[in-house]
Amino acid sequence: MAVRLVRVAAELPGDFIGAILYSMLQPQLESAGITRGKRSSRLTVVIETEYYPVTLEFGDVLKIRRGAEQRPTLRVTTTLQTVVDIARHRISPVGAFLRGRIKIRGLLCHPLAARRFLALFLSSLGRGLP
Amino acid sequence: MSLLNRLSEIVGPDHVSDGPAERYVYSFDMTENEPCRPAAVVMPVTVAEIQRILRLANAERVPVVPFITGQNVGGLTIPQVEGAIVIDLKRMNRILDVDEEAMYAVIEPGVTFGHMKRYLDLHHPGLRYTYPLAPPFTSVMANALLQGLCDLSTRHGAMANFINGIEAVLPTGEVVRAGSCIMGDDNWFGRFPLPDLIGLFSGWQGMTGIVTKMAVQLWPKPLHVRYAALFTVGEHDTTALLKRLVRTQVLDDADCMSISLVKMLLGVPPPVEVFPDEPQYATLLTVSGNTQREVDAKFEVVEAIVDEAHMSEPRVNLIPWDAVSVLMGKQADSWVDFPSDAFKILTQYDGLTWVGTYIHPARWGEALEGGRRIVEKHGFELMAFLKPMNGMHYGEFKFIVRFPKDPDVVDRVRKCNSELLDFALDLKAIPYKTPVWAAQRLLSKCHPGFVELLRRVKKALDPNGIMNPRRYSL
Repeated sequence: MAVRLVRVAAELPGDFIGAILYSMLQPQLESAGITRGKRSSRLTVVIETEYYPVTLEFGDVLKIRRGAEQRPTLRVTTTLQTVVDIARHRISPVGAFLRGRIKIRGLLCHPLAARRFLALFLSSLGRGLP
Repeated sequence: MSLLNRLSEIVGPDHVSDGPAERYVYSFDMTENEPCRPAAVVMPVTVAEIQRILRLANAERVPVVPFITGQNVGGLTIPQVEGAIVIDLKRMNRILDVDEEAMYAVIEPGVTFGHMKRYLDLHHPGLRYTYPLAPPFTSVMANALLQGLCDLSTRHGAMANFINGIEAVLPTGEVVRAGSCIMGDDNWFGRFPLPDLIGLFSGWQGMTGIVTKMAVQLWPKPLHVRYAALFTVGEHDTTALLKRLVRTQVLDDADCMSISLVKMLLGVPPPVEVFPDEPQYATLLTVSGNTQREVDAKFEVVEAIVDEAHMSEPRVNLIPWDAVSVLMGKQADSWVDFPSDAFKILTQYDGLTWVGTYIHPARWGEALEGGRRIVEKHGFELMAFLKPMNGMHYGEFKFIVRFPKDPDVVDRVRKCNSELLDFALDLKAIPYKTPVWAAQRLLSKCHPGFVELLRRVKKALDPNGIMNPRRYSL
């Protein structure tokens, strides 16, 4: 599945985790490095932390909203501390995955979507895919 | 000769006015307190001019209200009687001396936090002062006299603690001094061992005289500083954790605020709402040391305490600053600069107010929880700010409200603040920077001997009652 990741997020969400994700992802989306695929496709990612789930909906614009989409493309479960440890190079993304500190549902069904989303997410943390 | 002409003789015609524009500008501040236009505004630049103005006012029984930059957020420079003269001191803005060895600066009233920082960075880079929860154009002297707080208050307490000495002009025109400066200039090293007469001016809201010089303590600029963000939930758990952290005495500062304020820094537009399961409070922790190793060791102490709290509540998280910068981008800097940078979010509307108190640590969490419920009930954004004070000998909390000055909103603000104050007073908290209505409530509930003492001191220093009459409900 070709996935188009958009450049500009629509609106800063009002909740804390959503606002943090917006702050992290928006600069990446605005950078020229985000490639566009062959066709537009809706990608939804639910990120679950110890606080509450947030849904990222990639369409023509990125929508971030509080709560979990019932059938997302990907469901990422992690903790704020794990995100921080990755950002601080205390653990590698692969290491976090192998130790169960990041769990991704939908990885096998949507490998390309997962790869593109993780590339975006990890680059916002100053890390890249292995 | 009219009063205006006589004032003009003292300060020159360019520095006195009874024009409608000046009278309007000095009649209000950003709070909900009722405006009142002064009769005139005068801007002296020397101690001798202040003496002459006060002698004239005392002889003619003209009320006077001292003013510097009007950033007190308490309606404290709004005249409480008709016919008052506002004495604006901002032209007196010299830093008269900085003593490197005893680490103090002697300043005039108009010196601002911005002036002080720039001057020290340029001429005394090894020393620092502090910054308050106010913009950089706030008066250093006013903040100290009003016993406000700053980024060193977690360690050293209210800013009045930083005063080494003062020179003041009494309402009757005499120049007086208190502190070690009684032995002459270049000797402003402290207040003790002497009768502590700073208390005749500190906390009096300009009711006993006009302070013309003040020595404030400076501090060595730390060689190594580290910040971290602490996210917590629940008022009791948050204050309990802050108490544990501050009692270790390793922190320079702990600036705790509602998560709404962090969201505002991230750019969330008003009205900023609160959602279930969000972290409720965010605290900027500051640790410093002479070596990196010292900082690391202090930080380990902090981490150990937070790790323990995290075990029982996973939403308690300590985030080192390099990661905060990744998560928040450029806004991370705004958070570090928050106290001085606050105006960009707090001045969203034309109205800004708060009820703030200093409180016994045992009742800190209860005060915060009850205050939150009151603010929520009245439908305002949740903007609590709290700070452990003086090594955790007491706590501070305030509820800030930003609001458009529409009549119905102002009415709601008054009701909210009134309820917050009553709740705080029932917990024996002491309100600071009190507008008249708040001082009135305090005096009605406190020990009557305190009120009697206030009245006697006021009468002794200001026999004709010209200094800021009706201020503090006296």
